[in-house]
Amino acid sequence: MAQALVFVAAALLIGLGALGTAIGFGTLGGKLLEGSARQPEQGPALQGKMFLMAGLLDAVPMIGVGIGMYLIFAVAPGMAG
Amino acid sequence: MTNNSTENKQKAKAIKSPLKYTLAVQLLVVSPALVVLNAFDPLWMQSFFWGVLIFSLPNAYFTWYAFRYRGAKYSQWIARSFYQGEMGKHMLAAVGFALVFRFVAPLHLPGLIAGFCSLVLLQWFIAWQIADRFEQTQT
Repeated sequence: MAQALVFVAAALLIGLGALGTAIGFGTLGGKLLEGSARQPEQGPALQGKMFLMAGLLDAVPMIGVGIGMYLIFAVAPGMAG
Repeated sequence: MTNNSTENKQKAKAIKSPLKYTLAVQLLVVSPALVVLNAFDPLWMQSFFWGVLIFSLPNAYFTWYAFRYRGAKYSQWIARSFYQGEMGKHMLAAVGFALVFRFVAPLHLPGLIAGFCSLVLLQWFIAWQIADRFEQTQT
């Protein structure tokens, strides 16, 4: 039972993190298209800025993936039996 | 004359390949850190190295994808490429963590997390540099 709860916790951790990143990337991508359409000469600058924001956006979900994998591969096996 | 020299300086500072720049800065910062850590505790150094590798490889994949296309004409492809790169980055990081937790023993967990988090912080600086200097390559 406890092991199953650990798997559920890891799934929620990774899944919700990925959901947040997906929403953020959707917004970022939309703004990039909008900005490039309005001012095409700013395209490369916007691409660089998007890269910066992507780095800030995915830091926490990446750490969440690490903790989730730790729960699945290090914590849960110790609870078996 | 002054304008030309300023322009030349800007061009010299411009980043032509973000992927190469990212890998070079990471190597430059991580190598001395690994040498210092090895002097104190080899196990810590090994775990730190795995943390660095788990972040660095997926991040290189993402950077390559993010700058595959350039120019406002391809903005739709750029947005799509960013999304695909991010998806691949998450998957590669998950696979990396899984492999390390499954097959690397002994492992010092704080060392692994420290290596990973320090690269996350370094990536913010690298991304800031790229955002600042990448646009100059286009002019």
